[in-house]
Amino acid sequence: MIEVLHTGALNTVQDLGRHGSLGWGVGTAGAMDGVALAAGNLLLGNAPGCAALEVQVFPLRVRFLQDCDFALTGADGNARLDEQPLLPWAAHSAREGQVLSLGLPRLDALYRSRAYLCLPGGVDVPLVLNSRSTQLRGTFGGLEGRALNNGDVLRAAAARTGAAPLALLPPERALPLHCEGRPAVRVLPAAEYGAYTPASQAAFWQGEWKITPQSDRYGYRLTGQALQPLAPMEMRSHGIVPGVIQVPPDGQPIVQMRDAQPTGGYPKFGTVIEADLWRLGQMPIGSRIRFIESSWSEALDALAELQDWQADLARQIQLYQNARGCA
Amino acid sequence: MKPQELDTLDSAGLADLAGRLQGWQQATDIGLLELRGPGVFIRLQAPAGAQASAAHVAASEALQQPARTVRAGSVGVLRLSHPLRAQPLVQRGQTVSAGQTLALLQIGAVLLPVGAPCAGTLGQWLTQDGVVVGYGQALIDMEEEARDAD
Repeated sequence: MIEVLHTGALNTVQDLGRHGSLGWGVGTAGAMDGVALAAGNLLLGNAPGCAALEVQVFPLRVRFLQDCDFALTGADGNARLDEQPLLPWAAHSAREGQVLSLGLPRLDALYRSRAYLCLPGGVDVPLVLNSRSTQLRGTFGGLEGRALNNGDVLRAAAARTGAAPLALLPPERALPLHCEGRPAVRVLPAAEYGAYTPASQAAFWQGEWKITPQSDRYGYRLTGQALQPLAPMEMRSHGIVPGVIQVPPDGQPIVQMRDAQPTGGYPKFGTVIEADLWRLGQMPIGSRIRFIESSWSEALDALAELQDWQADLARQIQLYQNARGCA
Repeated sequence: MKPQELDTLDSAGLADLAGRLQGWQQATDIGLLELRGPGVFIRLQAPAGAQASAAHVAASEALQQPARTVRAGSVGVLRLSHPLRAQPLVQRGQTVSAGQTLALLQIGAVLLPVGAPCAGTLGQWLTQDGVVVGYGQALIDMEEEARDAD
């Protein structure tokens, strides 16, 4: 059980998302970096999709109200347990009364903006439509459908895991993706791609895109060379999913993120592939990114590669949990 | 030897495997070799004389009591700093608490913390960052802190 002593606005409980409800107009929500969430859970011996705290506004301070194991992944916020510095991307143990603090993410070796605090068995909040993710727009899921406040108490489904105190190399090391020195994500051209000028199409792939301050869990607004349609377009609203890149009339694209609404009416220029959404979900406001053109089969290969990495990670962690059981 | 699943070996096959492993082990300075598989557990301990290099280190450190040697609890690549941090985890001469992480052993994507066995002052590293170390290999000397009444 933990008590939130200090939190910024918009830190929420998230799991891997509320899938299968888009048809009812319910967006998926879920962790912006599902890979970090899954890795933190695996460190504790949890199922990869257990609910955790997503921290995107710092600093965060929580007090452990009982002895409790925990894992930290995602952005590296120079975490401390009382005064003791903690390794990033690792499982740790706290005693009752100890205070965990997370500061602003370091933007050196790991250029990431969101941290995940995982607890044994996951954060114990009610399951709503098959997920514990906070749906801020609908004000349900997570903790009372809202972001965390100071004084909130969150219960872990268990206290101790018996998990070995391991640390992990973040996936950025095994699966790096850059384009001419900038962090990159792969994109499939979408339905209205062909309705833009060849110059705009070229600029999209060859230019840098800056993530503006008008970016959050709902979507990232980017700035770069404005994308020009061959002719003005008026479209009916249609279904959209996280990753879809829309182009409003000003030509500056918007990438839909985890809290995207399920429909939209802007033309769709492309879609960030599922295997790279975690990368984008970690890119800080103000950073410059590149898009790499991808094909359907490349997107599937990338997803398989990511799943293989995660399966291998689970296997490696299991080796140490087993060895500890034997010792 | 053809690739074969451990659990398909009969007892003669296992004895043969153990013999081969022992041969390989004697050609190295590996002191202890354990192999676990489904329903299989092989443990090969080299004779005391075979650990001459480790014993030599132990003898030399006995001169400066009370000192302890921190040894690798696993095979792995020794990391003196976390791969995401430029600063080493600890410095020579630093006072550390029991259990404090002194280094990491990297095995694939896993980083296994090497904890201080006791509170004390760190001596010098006996091996280098980035080197593959074996199980039980001496990593660093430390002088144990004199115990108070508490």
